[in-house]
Amino acid sequence: MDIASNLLLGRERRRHLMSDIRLHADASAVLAALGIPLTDTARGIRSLSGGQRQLIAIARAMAGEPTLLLLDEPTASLSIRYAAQVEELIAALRDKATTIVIACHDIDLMFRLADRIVVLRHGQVAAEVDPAVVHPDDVVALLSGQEIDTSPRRQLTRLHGLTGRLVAADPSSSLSLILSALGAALASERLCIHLPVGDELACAASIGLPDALLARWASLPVGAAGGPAGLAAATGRPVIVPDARDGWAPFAGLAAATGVESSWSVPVLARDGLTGVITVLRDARGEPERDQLELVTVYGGYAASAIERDRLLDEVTQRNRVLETIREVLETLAGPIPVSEGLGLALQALCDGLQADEVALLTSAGGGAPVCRGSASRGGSQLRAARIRNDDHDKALAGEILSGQKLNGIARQVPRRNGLWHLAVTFAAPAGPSILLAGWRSGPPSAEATVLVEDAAHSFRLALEREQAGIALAEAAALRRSQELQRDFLSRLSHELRTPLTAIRGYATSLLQPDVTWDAESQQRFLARIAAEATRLGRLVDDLLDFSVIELGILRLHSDWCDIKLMLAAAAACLPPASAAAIEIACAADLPVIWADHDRLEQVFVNLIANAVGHNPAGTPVRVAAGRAGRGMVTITVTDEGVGLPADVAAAPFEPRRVRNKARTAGAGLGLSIARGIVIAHGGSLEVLPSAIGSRFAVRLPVEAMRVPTAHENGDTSSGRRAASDHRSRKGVVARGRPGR
Amino acid sequence: MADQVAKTRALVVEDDPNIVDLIRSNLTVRGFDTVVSADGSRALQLLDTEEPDIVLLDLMLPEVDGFELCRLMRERSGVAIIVVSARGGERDKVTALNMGADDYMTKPFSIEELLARISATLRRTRPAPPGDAAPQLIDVGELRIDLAGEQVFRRGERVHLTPTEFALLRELATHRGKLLTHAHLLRRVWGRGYETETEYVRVYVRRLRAKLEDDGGAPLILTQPRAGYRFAPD
Repeated sequence: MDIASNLLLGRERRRHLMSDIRLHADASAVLAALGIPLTDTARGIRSLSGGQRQLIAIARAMAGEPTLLLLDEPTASLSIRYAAQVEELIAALRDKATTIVIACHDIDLMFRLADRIVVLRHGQVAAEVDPAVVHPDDVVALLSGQEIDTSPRRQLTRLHGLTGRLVAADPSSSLSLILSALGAALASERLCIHLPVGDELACAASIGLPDALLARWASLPVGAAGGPAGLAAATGRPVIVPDARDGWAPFAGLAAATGVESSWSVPVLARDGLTGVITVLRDARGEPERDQLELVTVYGGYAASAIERDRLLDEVTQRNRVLETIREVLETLAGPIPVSEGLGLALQALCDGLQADEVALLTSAGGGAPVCRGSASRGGSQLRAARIRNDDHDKALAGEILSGQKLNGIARQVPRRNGLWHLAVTFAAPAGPSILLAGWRSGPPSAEATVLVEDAAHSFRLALEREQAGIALAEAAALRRSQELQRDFLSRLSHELRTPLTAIRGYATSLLQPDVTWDAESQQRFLARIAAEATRLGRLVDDLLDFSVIELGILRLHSDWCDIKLMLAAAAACLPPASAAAIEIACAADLPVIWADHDRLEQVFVNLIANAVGHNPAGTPVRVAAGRAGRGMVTITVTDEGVGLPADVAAAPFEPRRVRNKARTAGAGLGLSIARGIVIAHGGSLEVLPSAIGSRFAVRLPVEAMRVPTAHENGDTSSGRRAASDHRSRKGVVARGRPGR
Repeated sequence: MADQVAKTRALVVEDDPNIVDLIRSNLTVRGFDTVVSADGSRALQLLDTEEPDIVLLDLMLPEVDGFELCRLMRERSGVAIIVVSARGGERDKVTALNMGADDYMTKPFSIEELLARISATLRRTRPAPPGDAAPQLIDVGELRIDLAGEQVFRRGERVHLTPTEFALLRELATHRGKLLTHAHLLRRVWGRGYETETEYVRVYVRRLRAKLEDDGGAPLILTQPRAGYRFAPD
């Protein structure tokens, strides 16, 4: 007989009889579903090993999808390897919610697989135990019918064993271990331990307690209402109930229903008072022996230290979390990232460390309405959207607290609000009074949270101070740089002014020397150069005046309707005729007239075109194109295909700069600064456009800048700067901003 | 004046054509030979090939730092150097003197002033005519000053001094122990019209000390604060 036939023996369907293929397919499916590593279903059963046969046997049993599987010594005759396979299969079946009853003598197997162990002796149920709470030795004792050994030596061995297991055990299971050991020591199967939680006693661990009792005793009041356990907790003395039906008020009925005949409730006392109550439930009436009570007390001591250990461990964990959080917050805030970015990360670390639902840092700059500097919420960014809605709550709360309290860095609890219990710390930051808020949904914050929030607020205060210092430093550096630029500019300016002056004075004093007679040609040359340099000086002075007027924001425009085409032609005509040929001017047909100062705009384009011509090889084409650009704007571009801007000019084209070429006709390197100032005064913009070759400047101008009567139109030309600043406030006709900055 | 500077050659280092024309015209009229350079390396080359008696150096040249050029010229030659600069700051003046300039003029200047300074500087830096009968040797500690040969020896080794440095040392050493005021020194060494240029004396005294005094040794030139200097007495 092969595996398939064996598996499906007695359950063959018609199709199996008709088709071997189907038979084998179904058999394979059964094996696969159970995870049995046999694939050749045509193999004869006789060729299989004992273990494999056992697997097939179990599989055959399972093929009928039973709810209860009975196995008699399933691994007794197998080698270790096959026993492990079989055990694995049993465990898998158990996990698939099949109830499995195994009859066996293998204690270790029982403890590995069973959820419940029933000990039968002479056909009688000797005991029913939970393998999680009894010791295998006790099961052996039950099996062999020995009385559970209560000799001192045996008790000592038990205690040693317990100590060893307690050390290794997870803290959460230590109470169960102790109860189980105590149960074994007392040969008592029903025990429980209650721990005080607030005003009540909560059942922390129990063994063998009937469900009805467990449900009622999950939580007990301290005192008589709490039954024997409550009473023991209240008095701090053992409460012995020899007859539960009599003395178990208010649980007398429950005692009858659950078959409890007597009970002993022993308080577990530690140095600082009650830490719990152990209750032993007995099946027989009567009082305990003195030794038995003492055993309970001894085990109670273990329980007390286990509880203390748990508490300490908890505290250390808490403390570690606090320290870890503070470290993280500090590291983030003192780290290399800018404070403004670090705040969010530090707040998130704080929120996680506090296990808070949200934290926020708000500053009331100059005592005004609080502004949120950063916030974080449980789970980080997923809840960010929800957080933003809450910002208004935070701001309102922060405003109230800041207005009413001293900035002393001390954490205060805030009455529950918007579904959150808050802790708030106020402190003085450089930007203004600040507040660190932390909120919890689940309940009021712990004492650790208070410490942590205060420490964190301190760190945030330092970070905000550091940020402020950074800002001040940057401002000082900017000021220094600005002063350096000014000094540099003055020095260059002085040079530019002195150069023509030197020539003028030098030539003039040459001519004035009494002991030299110059020939006519020299005299003529000297005078011509004096005239030329005086003109150059005049232009320089004009530029300087323009520049100052623009810098001061008091440039006055004499605006009128201006034809761009005419204006550009006039600008081109200012250049030497030789270079005029290379200039091409193209104006769109629909170009409107604009409200502008013709002469000032001409100055702008003379400068731009002269730059394009002057800084490039002779004959480099220069294109000037004007057209509409969007609503109410015109754009005029000046493009050349020359060498492009030098790197230092391209970096900051509108800064006043040194003129390298002293022989050049133009001024102090202010040309572009002035041009930009004039364009800005018209409400437009002047920028350098990226260009693959040459350079490209674009002037954007409004067709009709906000028309305000100019000083010229008012007939007011005398009141100078005041009038001009009035215009400035009305926008449009005077320069705004500072060119070159 | 014309005969004094008859064979003098001037090197003008300047990039502004007007100033070049101005200076050249005036120096030519006064009988100078003039060579011109607008750039630094060519100026150094001309210094070697033309052996000028005086250099008029503009500090603001394209592509080269004027102070550095001044230092390089002084390294190569004892030629008289007058810096002509549009930078009028005290610091620029002291820096130029420290770099070895003999005089410093600020633009704009009058031609008379420029010519007067050229004359004074040349007079100061020209070697004295041989055969002078004045006392010849002054020994101060390990220092020997040969007035006639215009040479200084320290522990037997020749110390190189520029003409202006030597002129100042001569003035101090021939008046040992006597307080010489700033104005006196300026008038005697640099010439009339220089009396207020106190930094000149300061810079040159510092240079003499650096060349002649030992670190931590007895000072050779004593400072009389706000008054002047005194050479170590006998």
